[in-house]
This record gives sequence, C-alpha cells and structure tokens, in this order.
Amino acid sequence: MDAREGRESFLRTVAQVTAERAAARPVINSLRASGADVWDSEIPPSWRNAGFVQELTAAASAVLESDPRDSLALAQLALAIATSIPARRYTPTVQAQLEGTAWKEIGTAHRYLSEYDAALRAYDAAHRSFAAAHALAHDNAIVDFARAIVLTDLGRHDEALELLRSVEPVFRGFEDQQRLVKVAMLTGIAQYGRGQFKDAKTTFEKALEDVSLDDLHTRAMLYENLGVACMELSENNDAVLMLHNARQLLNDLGLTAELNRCDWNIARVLLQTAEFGKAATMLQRVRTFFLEKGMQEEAGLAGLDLADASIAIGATDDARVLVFRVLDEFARARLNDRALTALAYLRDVLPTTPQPSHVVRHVRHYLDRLRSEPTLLFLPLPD
Amino acid sequence: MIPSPCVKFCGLQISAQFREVVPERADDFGVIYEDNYRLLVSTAIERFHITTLDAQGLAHEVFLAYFLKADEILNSRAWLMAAICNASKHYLRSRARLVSYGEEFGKALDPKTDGDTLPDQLVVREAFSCVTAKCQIALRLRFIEGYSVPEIAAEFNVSKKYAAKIVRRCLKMAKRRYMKKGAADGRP
Repeated sequence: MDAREGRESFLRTVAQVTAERAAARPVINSLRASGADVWDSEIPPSWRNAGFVQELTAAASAVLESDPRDSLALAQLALAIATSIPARRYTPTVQAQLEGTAWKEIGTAHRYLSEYDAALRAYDAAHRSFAAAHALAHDNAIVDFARAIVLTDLGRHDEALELLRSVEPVFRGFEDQQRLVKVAMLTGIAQYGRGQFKDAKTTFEKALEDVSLDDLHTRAMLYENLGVACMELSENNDAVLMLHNARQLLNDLGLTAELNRCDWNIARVLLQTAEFGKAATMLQRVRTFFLEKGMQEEAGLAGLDLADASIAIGATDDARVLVFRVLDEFARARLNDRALTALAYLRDVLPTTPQPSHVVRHVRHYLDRLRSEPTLLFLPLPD
Repeated sequence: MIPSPCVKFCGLQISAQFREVVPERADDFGVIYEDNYRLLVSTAIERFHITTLDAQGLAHEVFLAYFLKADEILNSRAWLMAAICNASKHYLRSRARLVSYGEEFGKALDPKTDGDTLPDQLVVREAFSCVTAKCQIALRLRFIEGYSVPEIAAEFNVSKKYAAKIVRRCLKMAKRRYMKKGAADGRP
C-alpha cells in the first residue's frame, strides 16, 4: 500500500467510523434512557459496527465511577457487538482495538466491583486481542497498568511493582505524562501496601509535584492517597487537610463512588481522633451509598466501622443490629465463606464481650486482609 | 491502629484538558497522515530494517490505532513515533516466530485438520451473529476465550447451574439458527 492508497484507505475508515459513532450516539442514549433489555434480542445489523462499539465502551467508561454494574453491562454489550461485526469489515487493527477495549472496560468494571479474578481474566483477554495487531503497544501497556492496579488491590505488591517497572518506559516513550504520574501513584500505593508508609508519602508528594494542574482526577486521587498515608503515620491534621482537598476535587468532578470512599477515609480519621458522633453520621451515609451501588464489600467494611463508632457512643444495640445486617448482606451476596464465619463470630460474641470495640476491630482487620488473602483463616480473639 | 481499607486506585480516566485539539474532520486526520507518513515508514525501514512494503503496512496500522484513540493523545508526533517503533518490534518478534515448513510437511497431515483455520473462524463468527446478545457473550466466553462455567457464572453474576444452562441453550440456538440461515442462503 503506497502513501496515496494508504491515506485514502485511512480517511475512508475515519469517515466511516466517525459517521457510525454519530449514528450510534442517539440510539445508545435512548436505550439507556428507556432501560430496554437488549440482551435477549438478536443484535440489529445497524448496530454491528465499530462506531457503535466505541460509543458503548465510552459510555461504560463514563459511568464506571457512578455505577460499575451498569458499566459492566455496557462493556459486555460492546463486546457482544464487536463479536458480531461481520468478518473483514474492518482491518485487523481496528477489530483488535475494539475487542481489546471492550475487554479492558469489562475488566475495570469487575475491579470496581471487587471481582478480581474476573477482572484479571478479562485483562488476559484484552491482551490477547491487542496482541493480534502490531500497532497496539500503548493499549497493551494500559492493560498491564490496569492489571497492576488489580494486583495491588489483591496485595500482590511485588508483582505489581514489577509490572509498573515494565510499563513505565512504554508510557515514557509515548510521552504519556498523565499515565506516568499514575504509575508513580500506584507505586506509592504498593509501597503503602507493603507497610512502607513514609516511602509512600514521599512518592505521593513527588507525584503531586509532577501532575498537571488541570489533571484534576489524578490530583484528587493523589491527595486522597496522601491523606491516607498521613493517617497511617498518625499525622491526623495533615490527613484531614489532604482528604478535604481530594473531596473538593472529586465533588467538582462528580465522581460519586470515589467521593464516598474519601468520606469514608475522613470518617476513619475521625474515629482515630475520637470524634465518634461525626464519624457515625458520615459512615451511615457512605454505607447507604455503597449498598445502593451494589458494592457489598465496601458496604460491609463501612458497616463494621459504623459498628465501632456506635459502640464508642454507647449505642451497642445499634451495633449489634448492624452486625446482623452486614452478615445477612454478605450471605446474600455470596461473599467469601470465611468472611461469613468471622461475622458470625462477631454476631455471637458481641452481646457478651466486655470489649466490643476490640472484637469489632479484630474482625474488621481480618475482613480487610481477606480481600487480598482470600484463603486466610479466621482466628477468634483469645478469651 | 485500624488498617485503612481504601487506598484505592481509580485512575484510568483521562481528563480532557491540556491536550491537542482532536481532529474532528477527516481532512484533519489527512494532514496528520501526510505530515508523519514518510517519517514513520523511514523509521521502520532504517531503524528496524523492515521492507518498504511492510513498513508502509505498519505505518497504516499505526495511523488507524492513532485515530481510534486520538481523543486521549497529548502529543501526536511523539505518540506516532513510539507506536511505529513498538509496532516494528512487534512485527519482528512475530516474524521470528514464523518458521518455514519442511519439504515433508503436509504429507502426513490428518485430513480433518488440514487447511486454514480461517474458514472455521468465519463459520464461528457467522454462527455467533445469528444469536442474541447474551448468547454472543456466553458462547464467546466458553468457546473462544476458554472460560469455565464457574467463570461464566461470575461474569454474568448468576449461579453456576444457570450459567451452564445459558451456554447449552445458546449453543442449541446458534446451531438451529445457523442451519436455518444456511438453508435460506442455499448453503449446503
């Protein structure tokens, strides 16, 4: 293909996909507004194109923060449509990019839902899709980066750091400054996960110097992480200051899930500074939000923090009722059996123990570890 | 001290500021193509010793990849250069894995596996296109991506039993509809 033919072919694809996206937008908006169930119908031929898939993956990405379950459904639909595109309608690069991106969004939605195995599986599939074409190295590095996030969430910090070391030069080559800052941020998170709180704080502070003033999302996340690192170092004033900076930016950006996580962190600082009443009010609100969004683990953990606050203000009966509810929610969500065991222990011990806060924190700490060590055995406190 | 639950990383979105203006018309992409085409092709040829024809093909792929994610690229020239270098390396790695067949190859082939897999892939794609969106995903997960039934259950957020039922039902649907479509198209 010489320059002229290549240019013409390229521009044909540009015009075609641009037109497809424009046609897809109102269809997708109307589908989302009506809530129509498209899953049990055959995909209309007019949807089977790259533009439709791109619009769906963009929509999946846009709602990820506010509604990860909806994001997952949109990304899955994008994949279904990408699969149904007639063979050879597009070049292998376009097809691979469409499928890989749909998989990436599926993986990320699973990650938001704490479904880590499914997330890693989806990222594997994204890799396979991107590897089918020569020119998708940047996309591939983005998936590796996403995988590093999951590994960090799973507590596999060494593997995450190794992956981050491998993607860093790729992003540097593409002059992708924003992702370089995010690599630095994730490095800090992995250091935090290894208990290197001072190192993590330093890494976050350095990344804050490098992040663009206009990259509000990354800046917000850096403030939030810095706040949490300060909390671990018992630098509570700095922690609250950083978390409030994060909160303001997240509020401006309309990132509700992260805003609630930030409030959760502020509430945890309040627990440390013995402002239990304020903490309880905040925790009640964030727990309700997590429940509404189907984020069961977060809701359960916030529930235990709320139980801790309730005990501290003397509302032990409320704490007991709350533990019952959390146990029931975990059972209905089919979460880890070991988590159920720990919660059942808490339910049984709470009415009689002389140190209810101590027991709540013990179970809370165990559940937190269980997220990254799913086979960890629960050991009750010694009598 | 209670360990913190939520140092969370939620950073795959890219905000829209500080970015080159994304081309909105095909003409603008045409300008980017013209401005960079020679550089990309010559880079693949001179730095990676790739033939002219293949270098042109790689440059074309790079432009397509660029177009598909143009809205998140900050520096077009740098991105395109990095992309052609990585594409060239990927191409060379792929080529290195290809080994020519020996003279005896093919004489002892099992006739069942003889020939290209492309027709099979086309058949699968066509069969999948006959079914519902949910079945597309279910069949793809099971038969292309190699998901187990429990993994499919996790993907759909349903029980394992129900996931197995979905796969069975979808497979039947694909067979039935593909045969029916084949009859309508006059396929033997």
